[in-house]
Amino acid sequence: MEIFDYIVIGSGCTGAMAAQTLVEKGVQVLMVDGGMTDTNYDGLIPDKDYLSIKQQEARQYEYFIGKNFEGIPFGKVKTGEHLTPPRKFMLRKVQDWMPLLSDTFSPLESLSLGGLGNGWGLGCCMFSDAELKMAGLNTTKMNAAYETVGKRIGISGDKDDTGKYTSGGLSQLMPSIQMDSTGANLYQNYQRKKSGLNKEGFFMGRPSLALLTEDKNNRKAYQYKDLDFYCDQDKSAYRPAFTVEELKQKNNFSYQGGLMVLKFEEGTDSIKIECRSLANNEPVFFECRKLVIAASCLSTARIVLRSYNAYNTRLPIISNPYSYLPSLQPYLLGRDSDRHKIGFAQLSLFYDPGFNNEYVAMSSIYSYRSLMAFHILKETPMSTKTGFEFLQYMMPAFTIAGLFHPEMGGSTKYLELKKDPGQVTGDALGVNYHLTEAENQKVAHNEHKFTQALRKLNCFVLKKMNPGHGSGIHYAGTLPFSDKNEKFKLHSNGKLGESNNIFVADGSGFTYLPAKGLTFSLMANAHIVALSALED
Amino acid sequence: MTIYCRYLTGKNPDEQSLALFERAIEHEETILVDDEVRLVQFMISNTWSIGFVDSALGLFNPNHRLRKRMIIAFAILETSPLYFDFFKPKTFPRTHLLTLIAKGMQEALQGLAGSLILLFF
Repeated sequence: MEIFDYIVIGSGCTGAMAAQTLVEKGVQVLMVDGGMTDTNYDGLIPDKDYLSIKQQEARQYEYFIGKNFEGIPFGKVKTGEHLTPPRKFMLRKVQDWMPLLSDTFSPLESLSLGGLGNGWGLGCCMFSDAELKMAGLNTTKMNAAYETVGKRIGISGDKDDTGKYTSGGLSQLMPSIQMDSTGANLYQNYQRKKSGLNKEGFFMGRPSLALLTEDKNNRKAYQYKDLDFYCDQDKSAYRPAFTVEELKQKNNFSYQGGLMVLKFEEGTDSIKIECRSLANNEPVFFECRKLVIAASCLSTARIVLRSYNAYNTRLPIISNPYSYLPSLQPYLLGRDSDRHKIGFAQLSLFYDPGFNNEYVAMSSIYSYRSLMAFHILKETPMSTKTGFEFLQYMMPAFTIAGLFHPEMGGSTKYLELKKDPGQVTGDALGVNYHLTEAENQKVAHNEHKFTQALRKLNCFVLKKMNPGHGSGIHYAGTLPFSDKNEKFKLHSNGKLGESNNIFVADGSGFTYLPAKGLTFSLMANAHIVALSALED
Repeated sequence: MTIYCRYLTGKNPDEQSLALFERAIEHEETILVDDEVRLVQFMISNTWSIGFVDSALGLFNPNHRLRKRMIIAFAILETSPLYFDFFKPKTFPRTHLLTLIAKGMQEALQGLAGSLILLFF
């Protein structure tokens, strides 16, 4: 059996970034991955904007509501239901191969090429030095890694009031995308009232996004087609699959998709990886000198626990509490002035009561249109006919504020792998996730403060929605960083405790989750871990 | 689908939308049982009643299978270019809010009346 220098497990944001670092240094890398791709909708969406498609295309139902109507949620709405039909491939085979038992935690996991990065909201926030320390990360290395990753993926943003919370400190920043009327009106109101809001600890600005506003290599600048939830035609939005496709052109990189990694066994000179084919459940084995696991913190926990036969062993987990606040800007009622709405976040609103960039809560502001009226209509307590008349009037004024809260670990948040012969993997991951009373109060307090701040911006919250723990898709901390060489802990360089050549490049080590989107930090950490694996 | 499309858009449904609707309602969440089938038959015979039933379901029983069928029909029509003029974004005069308030009040009364119809099914 060929022994690879390095095997990287997973092709998501962290796997792609770690693999790129390794490949650039010239070592032989094999990426082992679930590798699910979109076979139903790829190439189906015409190269037009949303309204032109709505006006002209007879077969638009195929991608807007799905060939099998999978875009219409019939029953109870679960995590992932919000994905549009062309994005649903991210979830293929997940229920079978990544069983999760929990009444309190509903995460999103993926076996797709590019992982959850296929649906990533593109937010790129740098953690402050204080946040990095609390998360167990090295500030000097991370700040350098942010620069490297930023240059690789391309980031647009502004050095405005929120620059210190986002990526305003990066040396290369493309201009922000233009705003539609939803964002522009709110930002105008902020400019008028910012001094009062700033005194209370609220700061608003343009988000840093992994979204090109200038051409970069074979990727085009954002085209404002209002199809952000459906496709990546111009490749302006960064997806890790782009990196993997580029790496496939290199001689020192190979890719094996369609596989589920079950466990590893570390020997004296090499590490053996046991996988199963997702197609026929046949075992497949690989061997390497160094292993870099970037399977996302839940799957990484599964692999590590299974490898050490550590069933019913509790590991911690942290997940940012998430809620969203559907709101209205009355000034925009009945005014449809936009040819194109924008699906990505247009503004960020930070609440930093200590003015020290430590325990910051964050809200991303979105407009709503290209997700179809029927999604909201079914929640409207009136007839579909009158309900739609109301919606048409209200739609331009609809503003969605997605709200994240910072999160620490605790004894009420843990997972464990349980034997389950009924599952194809022979086990299932159980997760218990509860906030303490004090944490719940803190979340409620923040929600109240954001509601007040939005009101001051003439944006009125209609309802508070809590979709449940895990639904924010920001989780980490299953194998926390530690100074000691302990099993189920990571060294600060990402090496798995009590192992010699096994590294973890996803968020498993983070000991604190700031409310800011963590993906950019995950990628920066993955780059550092890959460098450490090369040096170690 | 036919009466719903006429009720919503004022147009007859096209063949593609009809075929899609037939396929979509095979889902177990939208298969109607006895009383619901009778209700649909009543609505087909008495097309004036559809608005009342639509209001009543939205107001009092949003998880009703017939309501789900209406949402499906709406989704199919929303994604057909033939009805683009009906579904496209529009600009309204400022005074439209008053019209909507009146409609909202009318809607509540219509929902109450519709709930009386539902009592028979």
